[in-house]
Amino acid sequence: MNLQRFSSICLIFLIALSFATAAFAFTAPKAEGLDVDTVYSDPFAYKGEIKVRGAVAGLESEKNWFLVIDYREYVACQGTSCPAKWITVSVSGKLPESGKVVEIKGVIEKDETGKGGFVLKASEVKVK
Amino acid sequence: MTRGKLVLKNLTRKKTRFLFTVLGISVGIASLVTLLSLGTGLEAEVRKQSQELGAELVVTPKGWCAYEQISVLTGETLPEAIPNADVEKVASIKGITAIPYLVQRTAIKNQPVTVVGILPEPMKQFKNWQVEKGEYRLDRESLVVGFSIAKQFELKTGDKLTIRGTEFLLSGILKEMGNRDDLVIYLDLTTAQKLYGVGDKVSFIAVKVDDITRIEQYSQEIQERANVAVVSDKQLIKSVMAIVGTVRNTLQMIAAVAVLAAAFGIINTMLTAIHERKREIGILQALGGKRRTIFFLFLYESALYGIVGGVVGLIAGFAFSFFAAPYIQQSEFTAFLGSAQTVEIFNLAVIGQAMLFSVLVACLAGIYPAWQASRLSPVEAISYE
Amino acid sequence: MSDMIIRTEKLTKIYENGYSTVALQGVDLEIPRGSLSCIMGPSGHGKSTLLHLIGGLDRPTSGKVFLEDLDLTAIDANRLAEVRCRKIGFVFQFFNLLPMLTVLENVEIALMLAGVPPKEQHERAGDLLALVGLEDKLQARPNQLSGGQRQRVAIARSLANDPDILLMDEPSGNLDSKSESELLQNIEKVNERGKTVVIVTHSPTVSQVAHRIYYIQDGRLKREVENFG
Repeated sequence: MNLQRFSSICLIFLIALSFATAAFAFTAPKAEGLDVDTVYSDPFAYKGEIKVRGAVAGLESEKNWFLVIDYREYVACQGTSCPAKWITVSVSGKLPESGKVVEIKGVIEKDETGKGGFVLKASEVKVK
Repeated sequence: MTRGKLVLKNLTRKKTRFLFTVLGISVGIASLVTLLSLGTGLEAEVRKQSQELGAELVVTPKGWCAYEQISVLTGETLPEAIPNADVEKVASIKGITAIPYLVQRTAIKNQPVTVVGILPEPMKQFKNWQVEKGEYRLDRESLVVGFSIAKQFELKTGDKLTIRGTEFLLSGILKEMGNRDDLVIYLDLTTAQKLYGVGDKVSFIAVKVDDITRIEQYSQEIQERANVAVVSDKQLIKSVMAIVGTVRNTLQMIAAVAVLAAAFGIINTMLTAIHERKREIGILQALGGKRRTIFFLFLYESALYGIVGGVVGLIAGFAFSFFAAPYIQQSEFTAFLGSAQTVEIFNLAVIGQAMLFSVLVACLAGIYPAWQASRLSPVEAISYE
Repeated sequence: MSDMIIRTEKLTKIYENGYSTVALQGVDLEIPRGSLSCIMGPSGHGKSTLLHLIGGLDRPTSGKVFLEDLDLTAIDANRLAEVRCRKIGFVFQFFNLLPMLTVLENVEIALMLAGVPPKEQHERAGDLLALVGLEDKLQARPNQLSGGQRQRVAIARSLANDPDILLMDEPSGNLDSKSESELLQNIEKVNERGKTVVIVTHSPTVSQVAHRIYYIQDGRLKREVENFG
């Protein structure tokens, strides 16, 4: 009887534990904002400051630029290697690390050297 | 006195043991219910949206991943990759109607909006659209919009809309369709292609077939003629499931382990009970209880564990799915599918499956103990102190 | 139909528990219909084994048991259960009531096993308990009753399916003398209703009411005495 109760408790504990790990394993950092692919389609339709979310896929430190890819594609591919579209972000301060999920506040500016003929001039970059 | 009453009285004699055994199976069933419900809401949503698309097959560029396939349904921007030559090849196949889509995005008042480039007349027929206000004119200068988008941004016919720097005249507003079509700006396909600089390419082709039974042949023929991939709505659902697949796989593991453990719990409980009630089994036999009777008395007892555990598990599972599922699903994916609620609570199929499974497992687990009980020799059982 | 309701032929039972124990050896026995018989003898000499074999609770190593003309050794477990259900009532020394059931339910269960519908079970169980004077204890649990009362429940239960034969194993073994005399009254009452009663007992008081006494020693039938009281 005691052994039985003990094993039942162990069982329930184990299951609870596995639920917990399962729940944790799938929480990628949450981020909010417009998606990269969306903005990329018609960047100049956005006036004033916008908030964009994405994953840092590359750095161009000499220009103080970094490239962000679509957050959802990042989650789906579990990496930054697959997408064909990205937004060039110019910052004044420190560049974020590659592979990080970021939320960027900034304005769209015409710039032929940026991908798609524009850059997102960031006023704030929040690393998630 | 009935058998049911006897079983019930026996079952609840050791309350703690009853509780723990029920708990064991409940956890198993709860994880199963969570697993099943995670799928249902999503599947229903995908099914609904693919119905709205009105096509049996979707022709996509080769090498599209699941994410892109799903985007067909959600109106996300898509890589434009099917050249006009392929569109024409597909359209020339007898027995099918091919409707090309170029899906892009723009923004109104800084809010993203889907822009779809279409062939005006075929699309109107295909979707059976009606015009609510203005006229159905799509060309280099004019466009039409869906009902909801007009409402949301307070658009009127005669308004000017700027897309990628080009100004268009809003010539018409479509009648409400009650689906995603209401949320889209429609442009003439060639105009859109030029505007977005995609050459003569489109995102995908929706294909409606005349003879639904020949869907496989059509699919094959399309792929032979053009350098494209073809997905059916069933495959689309599969793709969605693949994305939430990791969650499901883990849950599946948990469910399997939990149910297995619960089954052993039942076996353990029943064997202990039989050991304790050996003498009572002997009495029942002396009173004329047949082996079959003893067997079923104990089997019903296990089955009851399955029923009670199943009900508790269902409630717990639905509660868990409801509160926790949005966190454990890759919610970015499921959210953009449109419905915020991706878990369908009280889905009859899930309830049926989970209960059936619970009772089945409990019965299977009960067979060996019940068989043991029925094999006891009456004298041995009665002489047992 | 023979006048002997129970007949055994060279009944032998050997228990194999690593070593062989001979419990019964070549017992030939005849018990007349409607009689009240006692099986007596020292402890561990095979009395209970004999009773179990007669009642179809156990199977002999060799030999035969006939109930009327039916050979109990030749039928399968299910038929045997059927026979126990319809033809035989058992009363045990330790009463063997089911503890989680009420007095009434303990009697009902025997009827349930015979396939009697619940409503009829209820009526018949009530009647039987009234017969043994327990009509006011129907909802009591066995552990709330005295030894004598429990034994009366056991008797009521054994009579549930109106069996021809009542087999009792040390029925007074756990009773005081007052309860024992009540028991004997009940046994005689049952016997007068035409039931064949076979009692395994040590008690001389019990044996006094018997028409016949069989003495078992070392697994053999030593003596058979007719008792005319």
